[in-house]
Amino acid sequence: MLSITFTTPEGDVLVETTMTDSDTVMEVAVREGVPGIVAECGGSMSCATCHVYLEPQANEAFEPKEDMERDLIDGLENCSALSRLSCQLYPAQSEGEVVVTVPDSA
Amino acid sequence: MRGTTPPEHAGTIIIGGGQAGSQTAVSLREAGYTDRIVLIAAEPYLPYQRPPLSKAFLAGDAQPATLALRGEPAYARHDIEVMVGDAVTAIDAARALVQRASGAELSWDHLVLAVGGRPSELDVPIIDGATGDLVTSTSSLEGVHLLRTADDALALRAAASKVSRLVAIGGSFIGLEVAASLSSRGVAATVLVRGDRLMSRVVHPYVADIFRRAHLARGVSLEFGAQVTALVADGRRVAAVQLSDGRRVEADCVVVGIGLTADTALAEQIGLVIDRGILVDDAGRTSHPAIYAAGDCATRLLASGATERTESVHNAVQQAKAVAAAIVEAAPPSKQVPWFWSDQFDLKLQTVGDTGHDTDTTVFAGDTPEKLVVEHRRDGVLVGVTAVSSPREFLQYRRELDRSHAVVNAQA
Ligand SMILES: Cc1cc2nc3c(=O)[nH]c(=O)nc-3n(C[C@H](O)[C@H](O)[C@H](O)COP(=O)(O)OP(=O)(O)OC[C@H]3O[C@@H](n4cnc5c(N)ncnc54)[C@H](O)[C@@H]3O)c2cc1C
Ligand code: FES
Repeated sequence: MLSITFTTPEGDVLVETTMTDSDTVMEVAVREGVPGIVAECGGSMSCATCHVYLEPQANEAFEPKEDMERDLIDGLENCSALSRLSCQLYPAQSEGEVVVTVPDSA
Repeated sequence: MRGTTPPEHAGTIIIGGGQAGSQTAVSLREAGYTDRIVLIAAEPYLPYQRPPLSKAFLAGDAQPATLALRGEPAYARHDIEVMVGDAVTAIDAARALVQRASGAELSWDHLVLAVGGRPSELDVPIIDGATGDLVTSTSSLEGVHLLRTADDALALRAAASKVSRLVAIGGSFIGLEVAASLSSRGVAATVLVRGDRLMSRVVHPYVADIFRRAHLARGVSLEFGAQVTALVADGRRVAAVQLSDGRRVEADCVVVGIGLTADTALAEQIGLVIDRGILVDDAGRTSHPAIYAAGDCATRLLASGATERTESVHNAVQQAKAVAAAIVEAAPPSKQVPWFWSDQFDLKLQTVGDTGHDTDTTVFAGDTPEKLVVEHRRDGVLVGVTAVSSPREFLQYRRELDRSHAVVNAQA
C-alpha cells in the first residue's frame, strides 16, 4: 500500500491515509473529505478542481501526465511545474510514501 | 405525528442525499456550524454523482460505490450523520418536525430540501404490434427505461448486454450520452430528436452540427423531426417507437430522456411557494423562514423578477454553499458563472454563462474539426462560452467570466 499525506501549502497535515492500485489520488481525497479537493466533474477532466502539487520524487510514484491533463493544467491560474490533476494520478508503484500538497482554495 | 417522548432534535436536517444535500452538509461544517447535522437519503447509497450514469458508468462495469461523492470517512470527519435508505414522508412545519419512513420523527431548527426531481415519463399510448389494438396496461411494458439513479443505470447496463436496438427518445444530453455509451458496448443506437437540431435548447447550431456529424460518424442513427405518438408492443416487450409522420423505429430497448420534473411534493404539502420548482431567493430561502431548498428541485427568483431552475452539478454545489452560508449567517459565497459539461464519445462539450441563441457569436476553429470555441456576446460584452474538446481554453474563459462577473456584482 502506498501511504499518502495531504498537506496545506504551509505543510500542515490535512489527512494521512493509504491508497490501493485501483484508486486515484482524487478518489482517496474525496473519500476522506480532504478540504480543497472539490473534483466537481468526478474525474472527467472538465473542471480542474482536483488540482494538487507534487514534488518531483512523489510525482514518480504516479503515471505521467498525458496531453489532456497538461493542457488543462496550463489553463489554471495557480499552476506550477509541480501541478497535477489528482484525478489523473494513478499509482505507478504500490509501496512508499507520498506527500500531496493541496493549493489554497479561493 | 405525535409521540409520547419528545422527538430527537437536529440543528439542521437535510432531506435528499444528492449533490446538493451532501454539499450543504459539508459546507455547513466548513463554515463553522457546530450543531447536529442529519442527512436523510432515500436511496440505498451514500450521496453519489449522477453525471457518470449516462457516461463512463454506463459504458463500463464499475459498481455504484465508486460513484460516491464523499466516503464514510469524510462524513465521519465532519460529524455528519447520513441516514441512507430512509425517506422523509411528511413535514410538520408548525412543529418543526419531519416524519421518516423508518418511523421516527426528528425536529429541526433549519430544514433543507435537496430532493432533486424525477425524469419525465413518456405519455403516449401503447399499441399491439400485431393487431394495432390499444394495449391498456402500460405499466408492464418491458424494455422501457428512465435514467436518474444508479439503480436505473445498473438496470440499463444489464439490459444492454441482451438487446440489439436501442432507441433513445430525446435529442438532449441524456439521450445522446446514453446512445454514445451503449453504442460503445456494441448496441445499435438511434436517437429520436423532436426538432431539427441536437441539444437545441442550450447549444449553438454550429456546435449542434459538430455533434450531429460526430454521432453519425461513430455509428449512431439520428431521426430528426421525430414526434413520438405511441410505443409498439410485441407481447409484453417494447418492439418499436411510432412517430407521427408514419415512421416506425424498431427497438428492443427504449430510454426516455425528455426532461426532469422537480420533486415538489413535500414542499407543496406544507404550502411553500412553487414555480416549476421550490421558489427560493439568492440565499436558497423558501417562503418559510427556516426552510431552504437547493439543487434541481429549486427555482431561483432573479433580481429581474424572472425565475430560473437549473439542472447541473455546478448549480447544485453553488446553491448548497449559499444555503450553508445563510444558515450560519455568513456572507454569501462569491458567485461563479454557471457551467455545464457533457461527454459524448471522445467529444467534450462545455458551456459557461449565457449561450442563448440570441447572443452574438464568434466561432474559433480548433486544430481538428471536432474542436472549437464559441464566444457569446451581448452589446459587445462577453457573456458566455461554448467549447468543444477544448478544456484549457474553456477554463481560461471561465476564469475571465467569473472575474468580470465579480466586478459587476461589486458595482451593483
Ligand atoms: C444521467 C445524468 C447525467 C447528468 N450529467 C450531468 C453532467 O454531465 N453535468 C452536470 O453538470 N450535470 C449533469 N446531470 C445533472 C446533475 O446530476 C444534477 O443536476 C444533480 O445531481 C442535482 O443534484 P440534487 O442534489 O439537486 O439532486 P439529486 O442528485 O437528484 O438528489 C436528490 C436526492 O434526494 C432524494 N430524495 C428525494 N425525496 C426524498 C425524501 N422525501 N426523503 C429522502 N430523500 C429524498 C432522492 O432519492 C435523490 O437521491 C446529470 C444528471 C443525470 C441524471
Ligand atoms: S475531477 Fe474534474 S478535472 Fe479532475
